[in-house]
Order: sequence, then structure tokens, then C-alpha cells
Amino acid sequence: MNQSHHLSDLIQEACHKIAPLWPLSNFVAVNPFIGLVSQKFPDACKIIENVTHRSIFMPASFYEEQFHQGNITEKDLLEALSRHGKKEIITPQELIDFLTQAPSSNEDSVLTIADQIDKIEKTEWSKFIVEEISKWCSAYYDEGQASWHMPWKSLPLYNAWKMAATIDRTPEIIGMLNFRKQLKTLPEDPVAMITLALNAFASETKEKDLLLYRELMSINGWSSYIQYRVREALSSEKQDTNLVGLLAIRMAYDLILFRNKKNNLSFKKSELKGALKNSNFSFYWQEAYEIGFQRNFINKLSTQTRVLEQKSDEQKNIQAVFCIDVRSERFRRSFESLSKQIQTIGFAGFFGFPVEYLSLDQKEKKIQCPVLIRPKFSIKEISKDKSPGPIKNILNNNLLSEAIYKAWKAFKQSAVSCFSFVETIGLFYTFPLIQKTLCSLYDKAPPSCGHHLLNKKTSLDIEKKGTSDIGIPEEDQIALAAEALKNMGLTTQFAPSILICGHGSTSRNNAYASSLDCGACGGYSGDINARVASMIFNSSCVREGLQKKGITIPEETYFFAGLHNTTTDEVTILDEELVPTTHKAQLDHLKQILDKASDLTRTERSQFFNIPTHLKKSPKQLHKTFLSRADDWSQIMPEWGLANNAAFIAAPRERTKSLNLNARVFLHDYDASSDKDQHILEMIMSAPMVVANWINLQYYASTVNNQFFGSGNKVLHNVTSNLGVFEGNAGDLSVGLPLQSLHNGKKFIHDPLRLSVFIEAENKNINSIIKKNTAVRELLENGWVHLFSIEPQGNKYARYVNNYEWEICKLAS
Amino acid sequence: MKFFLFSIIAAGPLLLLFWGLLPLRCANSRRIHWITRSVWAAFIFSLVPAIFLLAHLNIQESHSYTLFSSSPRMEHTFLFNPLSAVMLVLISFLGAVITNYSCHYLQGDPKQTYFFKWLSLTIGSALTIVIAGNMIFFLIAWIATNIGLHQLLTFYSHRKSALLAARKKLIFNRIGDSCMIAATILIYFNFHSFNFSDIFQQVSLLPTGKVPEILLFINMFLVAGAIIQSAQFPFHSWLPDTLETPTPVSALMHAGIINAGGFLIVRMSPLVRICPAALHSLAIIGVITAVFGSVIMLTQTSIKKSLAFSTVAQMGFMLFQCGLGAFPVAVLHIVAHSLYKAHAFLSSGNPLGFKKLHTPLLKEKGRFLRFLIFLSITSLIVFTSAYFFKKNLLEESGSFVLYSILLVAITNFLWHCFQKISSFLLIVLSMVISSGLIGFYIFLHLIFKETLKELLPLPETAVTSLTFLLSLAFIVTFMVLLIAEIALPYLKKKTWCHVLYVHIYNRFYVNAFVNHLLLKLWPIS
Repeated sequence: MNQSHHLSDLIQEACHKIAPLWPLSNFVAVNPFIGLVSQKFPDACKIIENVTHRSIFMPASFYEEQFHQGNITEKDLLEALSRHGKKEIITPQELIDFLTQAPSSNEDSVLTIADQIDKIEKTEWSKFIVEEISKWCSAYYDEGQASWHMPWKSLPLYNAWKMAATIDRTPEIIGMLNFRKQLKTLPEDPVAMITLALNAFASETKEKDLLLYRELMSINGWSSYIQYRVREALSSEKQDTNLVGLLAIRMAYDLILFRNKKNNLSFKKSELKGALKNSNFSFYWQEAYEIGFQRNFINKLSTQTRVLEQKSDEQKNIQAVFCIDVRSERFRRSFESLSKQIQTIGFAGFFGFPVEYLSLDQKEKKIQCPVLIRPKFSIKEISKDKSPGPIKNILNNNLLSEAIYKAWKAFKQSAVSCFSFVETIGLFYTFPLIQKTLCSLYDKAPPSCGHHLLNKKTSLDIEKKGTSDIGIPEEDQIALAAEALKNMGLTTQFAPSILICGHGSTSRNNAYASSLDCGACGGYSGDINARVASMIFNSSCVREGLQKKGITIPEETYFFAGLHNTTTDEVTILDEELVPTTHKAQLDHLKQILDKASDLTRTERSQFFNIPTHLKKSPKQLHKTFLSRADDWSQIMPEWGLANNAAFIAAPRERTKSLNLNARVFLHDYDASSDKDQHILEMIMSAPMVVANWINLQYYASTVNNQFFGSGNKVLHNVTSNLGVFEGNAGDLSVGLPLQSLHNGKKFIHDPLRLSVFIEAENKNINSIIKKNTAVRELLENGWVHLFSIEPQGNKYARYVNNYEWEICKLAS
Repeated sequence: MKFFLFSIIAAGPLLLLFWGLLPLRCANSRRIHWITRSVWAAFIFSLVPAIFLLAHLNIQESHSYTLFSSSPRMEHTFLFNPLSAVMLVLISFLGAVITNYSCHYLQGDPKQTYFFKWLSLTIGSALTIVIAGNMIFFLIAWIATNIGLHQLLTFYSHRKSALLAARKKLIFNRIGDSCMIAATILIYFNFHSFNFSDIFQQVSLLPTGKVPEILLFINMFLVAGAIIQSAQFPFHSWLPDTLETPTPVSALMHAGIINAGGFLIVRMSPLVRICPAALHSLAIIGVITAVFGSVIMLTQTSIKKSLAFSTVAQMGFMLFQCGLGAFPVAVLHIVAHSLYKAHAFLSSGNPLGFKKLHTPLLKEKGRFLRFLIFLSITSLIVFTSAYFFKKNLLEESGSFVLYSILLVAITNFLWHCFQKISSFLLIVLSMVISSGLIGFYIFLHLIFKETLKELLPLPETAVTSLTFLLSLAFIVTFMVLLIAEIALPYLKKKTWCHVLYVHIYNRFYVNAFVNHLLLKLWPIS
């Protein structure tokens, strides 16, 4: 009893280490090491290396290059060593020598049975097992690719697999003797199965949790996807035990292999090995690389004092709230450069309105808020067209069009009629082939981005009617608005035009399109949140309510909703027809300035793409080029997303205003002087900072080891079960970002740096938040992010060391 | 004039072959640019003779032109007839689309120039197959196409699965090549010529009835070459495994190269059609593969695997049409399928299933309406033209079987229409769509039969009782397939149905078995 209790803890522990993987429809960035943040970064690296047999640092040649380019100096190396108390033990020269040494052989440590057999007999059992499990998982979780479904989808994964595998002949053809016969003798309960396997081949292994972790990591893609399902189930208070089921499946293959081979082979105990010298040294190089970045970055920031003094109270003409996304930085800079009367604010791209959105043509609601919080309200799209004509009426008839659509799909895809479909309809595919091939040659309407953005026939419904679960009640609208404005630091001095600007992206034929959308909006584009926010801010009832709470929005102030298309850098004003005639002039003015800002942003961005000079000779030409890039079905690198993100700054915009931060920084506005109770500081550190950390580590992991933590080469991607991709024929589900999101063919566009967070606040105030919030403390204490404080109104920088201690940073004179 | 025409025909393939054969050392930097230009030029060059042929020349006459008159045996290098014209336009069009696509799709890949070199060679050789006027030329182009494709399939040579698939193809290709070589030698022995026109001329002079034994052998070798090239059961297993290569290669292979088997049969149709045994075996293998492939397609969970099995099935159906003697229809199938499949592969990054659509037609009201109007108009045209042509559609070979299969497919459509609701409007709509489809189908058949007249079987071919029985069997096969598909939702609880599902999902283990065997015999280090 006691032992089984202990075992279920072990299983839970191993499962807990797996990071979730969101499906392609809303691919949210996630920290791939999320299950290990309770460990120190170097310790976690050791575990990962033991378990995945792969390094999570760049190759030595990379650091060597950085060293020669001066991005890492000997001083940085020394600093890295001293940060970890190794100053006396290792000299920088040793680290430099290490680069030219041949890497010591990677000795695998925690091994599955299949791994061990592969090593001894030079077979490929591990690969085979991954393919088998992947085959059944993709059938089990298929979201509509196959029209003949797996019959056991209603059973738990483990039992479904067992039913299928007792019929499947493949393992026996490949040489796994008596597979089906042995399978029948295995227990029906996944935990019992795991117990059986552990007792058979790991009774003496001390680190059983690591062995279990290894077993899950050997099929990391599906483990991660199932972890996502577990997470979703938990949030709706259901239970999903399929991750344990997956572990049991993996162990079952091992057990059968073990039974087949145990008389011929001697198996080793799996145990944790100390980190190799390799990875230890790489870690110091990585740290030094980050120190080098921080050194330059702080020097850059500290040049900013003069502007600080000029902080003025003058009334602005336009205020614009953008997402903290690094891509906003470039646009904000261009936008501000056009007039002194423009102020921009950085805030999480859902603008404090966590909603679920139901569009007219979809069955399921989209969750439009960061994955760390749950949406409280639902809103839906409604048709403005109140009096449809007779034909529209017919076609609006859902049942009828659905019937025809389904029948057509059956005609196209069924085994018996696909031949006739091809013969009658096939020739018509000439037109899309021509159109998509020549898309860049003719002018057309810009590709749309976001939800129904250009479809002016619909609008959003946010009013709560009766007992319906759709809509936001008025008192909640007021509360949300007040909270949002306070957090944005926008409670006085409202400009006449305020732009709430979400962001989204446009790309064609891109399975990873949603990885370019807004992470703060749950992997969708942020137009819905911007529209909801501005509708609420403009509502007269809400303004009355806000006045009672002490926030007075002047009558002439109007909130515009906008959407920044990060692929083409266009900003579109949404719900234009709602703008009252009194504000039309403001609207036109705003649009003009935005267009100019778009041109500036595009000009700056064009250097990162391989665009021939004749296509970027004028802003207009460049605009066209960007539009056709976004519309190109063969474009594999439509934009660079959040690549090269490296820092997070929570400070007043004056701190960074005149600096070119090269779209590498998440910018969150924060004014410590108006945050006496550190309420906003806590919000920033526990939500946007964590999200930025997730994004940062996803890019980090996908860069340092794209084969394992990234999704490999995009040209081989094969969308599977409508939720993920295989790279090529089969194999595990891919996690992370594709190579083409990080690498331009010649070099990595993303510099793998852990996030450096800069907060303009008193050290003691930051300390109090760290004390309060365990999740934040873990991230900081264990070295998953670097934290720096900036002295409010001053120019002193301090680095958070540990245990609430700070170290003053020396500035270059 | 003739010389001008043929230089234009030859220019496209020659240009591409030049870029394909030129060593990578020369003209490395701008090669991608030049190849893209060349392949568009090849497309335009292919249009000229095609239009010329349509507008000007007597369409019934095959045009061949002497290039090498020094050697009497090799005098006919080119054969350019309506079949060549259709195929030339098709392949050069797809080649242009795919090359254009690869420009951006593979940007940044260090081996992009290498890729374009072999792409160019493959497209150039495929174009050469189409215009080759004799067996030797045909054979060389055929082998060159497969070699070029092999290089593209092993583009990522560090990937073991890519090597395995390419090796499987390599081995099957060599068997196919041997069959082709055997057929060529036998043809030479029998007809004392490699030239298609000589051969076809001699065949047309043969007395009807008894077929000489040597012709039976020749035809069987040709059939074997075709079914291996077109990935027919049991030689299909390499095709679904070749997804370890960039998407444009899959598109080229599934829309272009795989058709070579079908083209071989259609090209040799004057020879093949006199031999009922060859036709019957083609039809039987074709129908088996069609059913096999399409049923497996239903169960596959990844988009490219589904498309690959769809190709296997469609190729089966196309060869089945050849087997029925309906060669012009087979060409129609090649053309339509190529366009469909190229589009499907190239846009496979964007599967529809991402969005769980509720009322999918809502956004496409206009398009749907246009579609309806269009359908009504075409069906009107079709029925009038059918009336004027006064064709008795059912008399032609295989037509009865093919129309029956169309009706089975339409039945499937109608069945799914009335699953949930039935209203007067739905009845009207579904009737309009169905009759439109049937009408358009007939219309296309008429056009292709008219264009490719020379491919029609000899009118005096008598329907034997064997042919009749086989036709019946084919129709019954498709009917059973229809019933099985419709009954599937009601059989979901049956254990045997579960067992069947697992075997089908595993593609009847052909792949596992072949891979295992190959890895044993030829390990990848």
C-alpha cells in the first residue's frame, strides 16, 4: 500500500515535469522547462541532459565566434564564474581553452530499455516505439483528418491503445516476438502497468522518477500535447489521466522488450550522472554571453538620463496603448518619432479584458486572454444585417448549407467518389494554382488579419441580456475598465484620441501562423480585445461609473480600436463606423500618422529580409512588397515573430523613449510613484513577466536544440491530426518553433539569451513581491530570468543576486 | 514552318536539361533565377505548338519530324500529337508553378541551387518523355527522370527515412527499367524499329483476332513498367514514405512523375489495345489499387499521408481506365488529378480542419451562388452539345463501367445530402448539383475524346464475355464499396470492423514488411 502510494507520487512527479504543448490553432508560447523551474538552471540542465541526452547550450563554436566578435569578454567570463562562486576553481583561460578542445563524448545516463538494447545491438527500437506510440496517439487525438475514426476514442488512452495494439501486427513483423500474446497478459490499469514494469526492470534503480521522466521525454511531443489536455481538463474541473496512460504505454513496450531480451543481455541500472564538463563549461559561457549583453544594454539605458529630466506634464494629442510584444517596440518608436504630441503605452495585449469569443462561423469559443488566467466573460459576433434578402436567407439557413457542405466533402473525400470528384472538379484547380503563383504580380485587397477584420457586416455584442451567459454585466464593465486604466497608468490627462492597438499577423499556408499572433490573447490576434476595450471605454454608462471611482474621462476623448498587423506593419482602425461624426477629423488624423509610422517601421524591418533593392526603393513599393510577402503561399519566413527577444523593461516610457531597442525588448509601462501599494508591480511580475519568460525560453530552447525542443525544418512539415506536425513521414509530434522562425539560412536570427528583466522600482518593493509570490521567486532564485532594478527617477542599476540581496552594477564611464 | 514548330517544342526541355546537366561550379549564383525563367519559358513554348495544333492542323494526324536523318532507324526523334501537346502543357505548367514555389519556399537552404539543378533536370526529362518519338529516347528520358527524382528525394541525405524511401523507389525503378528494356528489345525484334510511328503503323496492319505471342510479352512488360512507375499495389509502398523531402518535390512527384506509367500505356495504346490480356490485367491491378488506396486514405491521420494514398488510389483508377480501353478519359484523369494534387500538396500547410467551422458557406455566399449558376449553364451546354454530337455514349469501350461509377459516386453525394434534413429546397439544390456534375463529366469526356481521337480503340473490337464479366465485377466492386462506406457508421460497434480498422490503418502491413526486409538486406549505416 505504502509502496504504491509512493509510486503514484513518483508518477505524478514525472508527469509534472512535462511542459504543455498547445495545438496549432492557437499555438501559445510555453516555457519548455516549466516542470523544472523549481530547480536551479544549471541543475535543470543536468537533468535535461541526462534525460534527453542532448545539450541545451549552443555549440562551442558559437561561443567562440561571440568571443572573437567581442560580445563576450574575458571580464564577462570572470564575472560569470564569480556569480557562481567558481572564481577560485576555474580560470577564464580554462574556459577559453575548452572551446578548442574536442567535445568529450556524450555518455548517456538515464536510459530506457529500448535505449539500452539499441546501444548494445545497434538496433532502432527507440525510434520504432516512438513511431508506434505516435501512430496510435495521432489516431486517438485526431481532430478530423481521417474520416474513418479510431473506434476506441471514448476509452482512456491506455485502454484504447491496448485494444488497438492487440490487433496490430506491426511489432511482430519488425521482430518484437509474441507482442500481442504478451500484451494480453498486461494489466488494464495504467498505474498497475507502470508498477509491473518498474518491478521488472528498475527495482534497484534509485532515481525512479528520472527513469519515468526519461520514458515520457522519449515521446516528448505527445507527452506535451497530453499535458496540455490535462491542463485544459483541470481548468474546467475535470480529470484527465491520459498522461499516466501514455507513460504506461511507453513502459509496456519496454517491458515486452525486456522480457524478450533479458536472458541474452545484461541491463544496467539507470542513474543520474554528474553533468559533463562540457555542459558545465558551456553554462559559464552562456552566462558570460548574457553578462555581455547586459553590460551593453545597461550602458545603453544609462545614456537616457537627460530625457528623464525632461519628463513633461504637457497634454498629449494622441495616446496609444500597444501590446508589450517586442514587435510593438519598433512601431511605437516610429509612431512617436512623428510628433511630440504622441504618447505610447505598453501593456499586455489583452488590455485587461479576459474574454471568450464566439464568432459567427465557429462552433467553439476562443479564449482571448493569457493562458495564465481564465476568461470570465463571453462575447459573440452578431450580424448587423437585420434584413437579409431572399437568397441570403436561404443560404443563411445553417442546416441546409451544412448539409450541402457535408455532402460535398463526402463526395470529395470518400473512397468511392473521390475519383469522380477529381475528374469533374480537378481541372478547376488550375485557377487557384495560377492565382497563388502570380499573387505578387497584381494588386488586390490586402490580406486580412484578425477575426472578420474587414468584414463590415458583423459587429461585437458585449451587452449582457437577461440570463444568457454571453456578455459582460455593466458593473463588471466598470470594474474591468477601472482596473485596466489604473494598470495602464492612464487615469488623468486623457488625450482626445486614444488608440487601443492589438496585434495579429497574416501569412498564407503556414501551419505555425498562430505562433506569430498575440501570446497575451491566447495565441489569437488581439483585435477582439481591442474592440471590446474601446467599446467599454467609450460607453457613457461606464464613464459615469468610472467618474464615481475617481477617473474622469473627458467628453472629447474617444477610444479607437486598432490592429497592428505585424507581418505588413499596417495598422487598421476597427469599428470605424461606430466613431461618431464629431470624432471623424481625429480619426483621419490618426490614420494619416499611423500610415507614416507603418512606412518607417517597414523600412527598418526590410533589412531583415532578403528583399531585392528594386522592391524597396520607395515606401509605397515596400508596402506592396510586404503585402505580397504576406499573401505568398510559398513564403516560409513571413516575419520573424518575437525572434531576438532578450529583455523586459517595466518603467515609464521616458526611460527608453529615445533609444533604438531593435525590437528586442518587451516594454511594459510602470510608474512606481503612482503604485503605492505595489499592486501593479505584483501584477506585472506575476503575469506579463512570466509570459515574457515563457516566450523567451521557448525561443531559447528552440534555438539551442531545434531537433528536440523545436519543430525542425518547416519544408518537411506534415500536419497531423489537425493539431500538430510531424517532420516528414512519422515520428514524434513536434514541439516548439520551426527552424525557419529562428534561422535565416545563414545564421540564427534569434540570440539565445535568458530574459533580463529591468524594473524601475525600489529594491525593497521588488523584494516584497518576490517574497509574496512563489512562482516568481522560483524563476528568479533559480536563474531562469535575470532581474535588475532601476532606481526610480535615477540612474543606478542593481542586479538581483539571491535571497533578496542586490548588487550595484558598475556603469561604463 | 515545321522546323520552327519543332524547335519551339524542343526548346523548353533542352533549356531545362541544360541547366540540369550544367555542373554546379558554373553559373552557381544566378542559377535559381535562370531556371525559374527557363521553366516559365518552357511553359510558354509548350503553349505555342498546342494552340497551333488546335487551331490549325488536322488534328487526326500525328506529327513527327526528322532530326537525325543520317540513321534510318533513328529517324523519328520527336512525336508530337495532341496527346504530347496536352501533356507538354500540363507538365510545363506544373513545373513552372512548382519551381516558382520553391524560390521562396527553400530560400535560405544552403543547398537550394543543388535543388534547382535537379528539379530542372527532372522537369526537363519529364518533358522529354512526352515528346520522345522512339523507344530509346523515351527510355533514356524515363530513366533520367527517375534519377533526377532520386536526387530530390535524398535532398536531406542525413535523414534515414528519406534514404530508405528513396532506396525502395530505386529498387522498384530498376525492376521497372528492366521491364522497359525487355519490352524495347522485344519490340525491336518484332518490328525492326524503335520508332513509335513505325511500330503503330505495323500494328494497325496486323490482322484482327489472334494476337502473336511476342506481342503479348511486349505488352505484359509494358504493363509491368507502368504499374511499377505509377506505384500500383504491391509496388506502392515507396510513395507514401517519400514525405521526407521538401513539399514541392512531393507536389512534382504526385502531380507529374507518377503519371509516367499511365502516359507509357496511353502512348503505347495502339500496341496495348490489341491485347485484351494486357488490358485486363491493367484493369484488375488498377481497380485493386484504387480500392486499396482509397480505403487506406480514409484512415490516415496526417495530411500528406492521406494525400499520398489518394495518389495511389487515383493512379489505380487511371490505369483501370486504360485497362477499359478508355484512353482519352485516362488522359483527362491524369490532367485533372495532377492539377488537383499539385494544389493540395502545395497548400498542405493550411489544412481546413484548423477551424471548426459551423456554417462554412456563410462567408462564401457569393461564390456558392456563382457556382450554382455556372453549373446550370454548363449542364445546359453539355446536354445541347451531346445532342448535336449525337454520340451514343454507352457504346464506347468502358463507358458503361465509368458512367456507372459516376452514378455510384453521385449516389454517395445524394446520400450525404439527406442525412439530417430534407426540404424541397435541398432536393432542388442537390438535383442541380448532381445533374451539373454528370453533365460536366460527359462534357469533359466528349472534349477529350474529340481531342485525342487517335487514342480511341478500334471500333471493331468485339465485346467478349470475359470483358463483360469483368465490367460487371468492377461495377459490383464500386457498389460494394459504396454500401460499405454508407454502412460504416452502423457497424462501428462490431468487433470485426475494429479489427479491419487496425489492419487498414496499418496499410495492411505492406510497408512495415517491405521496410523491414529492405533494412535487413541493405542496412543504412
